[in-house]
Amino acid sequence: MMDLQALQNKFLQDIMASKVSDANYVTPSKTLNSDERVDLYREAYNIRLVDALSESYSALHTIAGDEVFYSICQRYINQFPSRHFSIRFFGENLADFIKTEESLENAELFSELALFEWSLGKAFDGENADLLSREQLLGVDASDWPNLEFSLLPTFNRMKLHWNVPQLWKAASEEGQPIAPQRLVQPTEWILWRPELQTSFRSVDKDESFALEEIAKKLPFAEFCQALSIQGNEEADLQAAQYIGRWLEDQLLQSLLS
Amino acid sequence: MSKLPYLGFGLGLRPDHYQTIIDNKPPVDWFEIITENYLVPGGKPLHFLEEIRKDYPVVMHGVSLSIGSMDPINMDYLAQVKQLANSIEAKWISDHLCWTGLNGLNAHDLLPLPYSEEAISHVAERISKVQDFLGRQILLENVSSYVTFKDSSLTEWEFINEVAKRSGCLLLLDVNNVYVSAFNHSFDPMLYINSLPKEIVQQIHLAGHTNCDTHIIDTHDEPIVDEVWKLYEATISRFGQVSTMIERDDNIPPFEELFSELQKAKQLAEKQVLVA
Repeated sequence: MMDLQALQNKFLQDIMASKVSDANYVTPSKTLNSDERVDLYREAYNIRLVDALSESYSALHTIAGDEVFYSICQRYINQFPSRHFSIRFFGENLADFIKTEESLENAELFSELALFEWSLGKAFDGENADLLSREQLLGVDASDWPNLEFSLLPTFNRMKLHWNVPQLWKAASEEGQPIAPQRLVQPTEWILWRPELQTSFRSVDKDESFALEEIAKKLPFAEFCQALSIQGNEEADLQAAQYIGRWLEDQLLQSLLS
Repeated sequence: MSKLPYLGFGLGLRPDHYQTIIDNKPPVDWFEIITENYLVPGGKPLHFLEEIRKDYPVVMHGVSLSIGSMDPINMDYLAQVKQLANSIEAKWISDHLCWTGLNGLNAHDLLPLPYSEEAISHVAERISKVQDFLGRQILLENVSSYVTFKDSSLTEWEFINEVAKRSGCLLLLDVNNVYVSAFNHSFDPMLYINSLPKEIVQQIHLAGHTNCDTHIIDTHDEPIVDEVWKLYEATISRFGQVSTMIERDDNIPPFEELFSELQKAKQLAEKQVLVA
């Protein structure tokens, strides 16, 4: 007789194996032998995890095609079995995993696509925050501006992409005309955030990327201006104010009361 | 602990139907959420849940408690469940009488337990801990199963009765799961139903399944079949009025289709209660 620990160990091993063997702890049914019965769980395990990855990475699935996508999934399932209580988080290591797939054609493209899609998913149900409003900003006394600290939304994320990933994602997700993957001459920085219920993303140039990096440090506004000026911006104060204005329009900033 | 209320006839809350529910406020008595889908920091899922719960009672149905596992109870998960239950004023919390993983690994499946004295003691003790932590009675659902273990010394219904007796938990009786397991393990589903004590049955699930000839898989992607409707009638005839809901997790049809299935459940149940 197997104790509960031994039985759970063996059953789970069989479910996670490539083939069930010697499932003699299970009684056969009228129609299926013991191995065939356990195999129903083994098959369901794989299908469920592949489905979860396909849901998290639908554009990658479309662009890579079934054969390549399923083979990536199989290797990922074997290497990163789920340890989270929610299947929603099963795919969190896929982008990094694909990067290590040396023999995979288009590994860089697929890894970037995975990174982008996972970031969208994280923003989708990420932390909420009240937005900075124009009225709130106008209400700030001029003397308080130098010490004013701005915060980006908790869902804010940025990434450097070497491929036309957002465009590929858009074409694949909206079921429009598919577009060809293209490696860019220069990598592009993209930002992604969720102001209310819809996620937004856009590209940023080098200067804005630097400014975002600085504002993310929660510097007082005067120090933010100084950082832009050190960067070589002759009209740093004006530029800083313009960035705040744009990020206000974009709904990238948290309420000052947060 | 106070007796849990009778809620009437409910549906599973699914993202495909959020907007329809908010716009049309259909006359559904209550909704059941899949707990894990709302254990997230923010965004659409919690937004729609907050909106919908203003108009409907909500109950929580989890898939990750893993009450039968030999791993320690995941207290972080349980704390999140408790916090959500408090914030949405969940009428009750349910999960499954099963295990889902071991050694920190999660199979994300509702794996059956052997029906043994060891399993009864293990599960009953853990249920008591969970109920103490949550400060309320929980419901556990009988799962569909595709294996039986050589080391089982009891029937499934004997196992359920004993677990409920020792832990004080309630049963979420999934009538479709009884049908599926009865087919897979060749037992009489009515013997199962008739062996359960009335006082432990707090909720009923109905769902569709896929018949693969040699076995049936509990897929929740099809309408409820006639045999399960008949079993439901017999169940209501035995237990009287029990809060009932329909689960659909895949191949989600328009809301109206599920609503009309729910109306059928209501009519059948009302007829049985009248006869009784």
